[in-house]
Amino acid sequence: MIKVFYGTESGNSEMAADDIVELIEDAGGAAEVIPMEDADVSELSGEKLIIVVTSTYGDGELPETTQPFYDALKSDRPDLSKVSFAAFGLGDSTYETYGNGIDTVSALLKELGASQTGETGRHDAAKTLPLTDVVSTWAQSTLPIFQD
Amino acid sequence: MIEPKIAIVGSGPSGCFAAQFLRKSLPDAEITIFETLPVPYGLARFGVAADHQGSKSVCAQFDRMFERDGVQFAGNVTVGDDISFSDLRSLFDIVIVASGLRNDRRLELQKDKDMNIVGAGEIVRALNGFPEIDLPKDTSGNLAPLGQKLAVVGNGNVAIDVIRMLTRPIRGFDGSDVDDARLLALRGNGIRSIDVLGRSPIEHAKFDTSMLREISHLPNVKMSCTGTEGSTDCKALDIFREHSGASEPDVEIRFHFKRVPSAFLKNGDTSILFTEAPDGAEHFEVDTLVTAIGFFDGLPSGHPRSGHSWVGPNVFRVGWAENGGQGTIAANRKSSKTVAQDIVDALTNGKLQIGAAGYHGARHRIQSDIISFDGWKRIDEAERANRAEGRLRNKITDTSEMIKIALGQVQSSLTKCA
Ligand SMILES: Cc1cc2nc3c(=O)[nH]c(=O)nc-3n(C[C@H](O)[C@H](O)[C@H](O)COP(=O)(O)OP(=O)(O)OC[C@H]3O[C@@H](n4cnc5c(N)ncnc54)[C@H](O)[C@@H]3O)c2cc1C
Ligand SMILES: Cc1cc2nc3c(=O)[nH]c(=O)nc-3n(C[C@H](O)[C@H](O)[C@H](O)COP(=O)(O)O)c2cc1C
Repeated sequence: MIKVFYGTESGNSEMAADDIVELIEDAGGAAEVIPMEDADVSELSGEKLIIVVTSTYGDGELPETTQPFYDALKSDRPDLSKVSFAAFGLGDSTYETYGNGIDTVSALLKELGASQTGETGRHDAAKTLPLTDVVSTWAQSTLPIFQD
Repeated sequence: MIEPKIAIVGSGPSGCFAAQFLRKSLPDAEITIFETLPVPYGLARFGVAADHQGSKSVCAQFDRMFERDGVQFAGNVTVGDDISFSDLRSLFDIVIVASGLRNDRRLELQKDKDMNIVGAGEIVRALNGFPEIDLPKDTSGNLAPLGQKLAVVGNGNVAIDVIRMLTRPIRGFDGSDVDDARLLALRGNGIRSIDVLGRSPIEHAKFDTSMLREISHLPNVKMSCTGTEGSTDCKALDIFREHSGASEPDVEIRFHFKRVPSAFLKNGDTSILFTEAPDGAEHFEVDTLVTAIGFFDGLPSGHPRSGHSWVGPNVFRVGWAENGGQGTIAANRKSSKTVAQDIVDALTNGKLQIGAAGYHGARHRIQSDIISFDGWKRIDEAERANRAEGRLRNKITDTSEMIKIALGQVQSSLTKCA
């Protein structure tokens, strides 16, 4: 079961996470969506692959529901050396700090030993490309289940 | 399996988020969103500024909900006119009031008759192609220019939206869906100065600093501020310090902190705004006074459309209709989530009775042509097909034209010439 963690304020990241789960299930895999504020970070060490999705708020800060997940990782410091992760970020390129949120989370996961699979996916709310399409293109080129 | 029949009044973000959360917990519920306009999404379409498309991106979530998740859109239905609230309440198991607040709160101050006072929300609605606009018109029915000298009372994000949209160079609207004709009409021969009054000291000013920074980066403005003596260091103050501004600005924007208006009076052909602050009284010559001090429903109590009387054991409220016009889309999403959870809990505990007729019982009592989500998609398509260079869409502002397009009775008149 691949866990897809999302942090959001206005729900776009939740939709992206729902899409990712659906794409994995359509490809015959198993995945579940978990809101970051409900995540138990002590269980992360045992995962093979996780997916993180978050937007950016304020001046390049984490959205409200990503923050507790980030803080818990920072204080509990689980060993993630056997974990790989894929990352998808949402932002708006009219802000100078475009997409900082996902970079902040990815950097911490790496610091805790996790390794990233593929490139970080990005959706820019200021552009007209639909989120669903951007997520789907990213998932197909990044997630192992689509690679054989 | 709980299969309640749920009616939501209003298709703004709060109503749509409530539907979205309820759908996740109650896959078999019948959910209908009634909307007075033929088009959905409330202030996500008509409030959020046309040059801030990113903040409108939540609409993609709602599109999906209507298209895939079996939530029904019933547009062109005004609850209180086309169907009474008490009918709605008896025809559905649960009613959620998400009707927002239509009008700008009025500024109470001493004033002469026939002064030019307009609401900031009304200006943003106008620039977003809202059908009925309550702003001064010229003899041919077009919006009248606001004049060269404006004052804005209030300095929250809505005030900043108005200031930015009225000053930003037109090329800065690329990729927006601004109503260009109205924008040019309101600007007239050019706005030269805007005095912005706010009650609080700069460190507690209501705007988001990212909004202030955006104005400070406009190529054609010069920003300044007064009333900041003795204020503690803050991001907003840094923005003013770092701002050098255009050397020959089109518009001067002067923020006055800790300053409140006291009277707006005629003086011959000119209008004078009198103001007070700890460091003394000051007056400004002003062509139009823009108020940006919040919202109210604007209806007398007891009016059939006034939400105040919309109460009952199966009635819930969300969003601006509940909180008096507070908060962003994200904040209102949280309150919709809480209310949706309360409803699910009440259903699980048997505290809400179910068994009402629902939409099929309500439908024949509704006295208007109901516009479905497919009908809205036809309007949407026509608007996109008619976009001008550099614009995302050309919003239709005539509701009867919207209805005809939605019902497939005509092609958009604009489509035919395109
Ligand atoms: C100028 C402006 C700019 C803003 N910019 C932003 C921004 O950039 N980012 C952000 O997060 N938030 C922004 N906001 C705030 C945001 O718009 C609100 O948080 C949000 O729209 C509140 O949603 P709501 O559903 O409660 O109300 P609304 O969006 O007002 O929706 C109410 C809906 O109910 C309908 N309705 C009313 N009466 C009836 C009736 N009798 N029968 C049927 N339908 C009815 C209305 O037509 C409307 O569609 C802005 C607000 C304004 C005014
Ligand atoms: C108040 C506010 C501040 C924002 N700040 C940033 C930012 O600094 N950088 C960025 O890339 N996006 C920023 N955004 C854009 C959001 O990240 C973007 O709209 C995203 O799609 C929201 O996703 P969500 O619904 O999952 O929260 C901001 C949005 C808002 C409303």
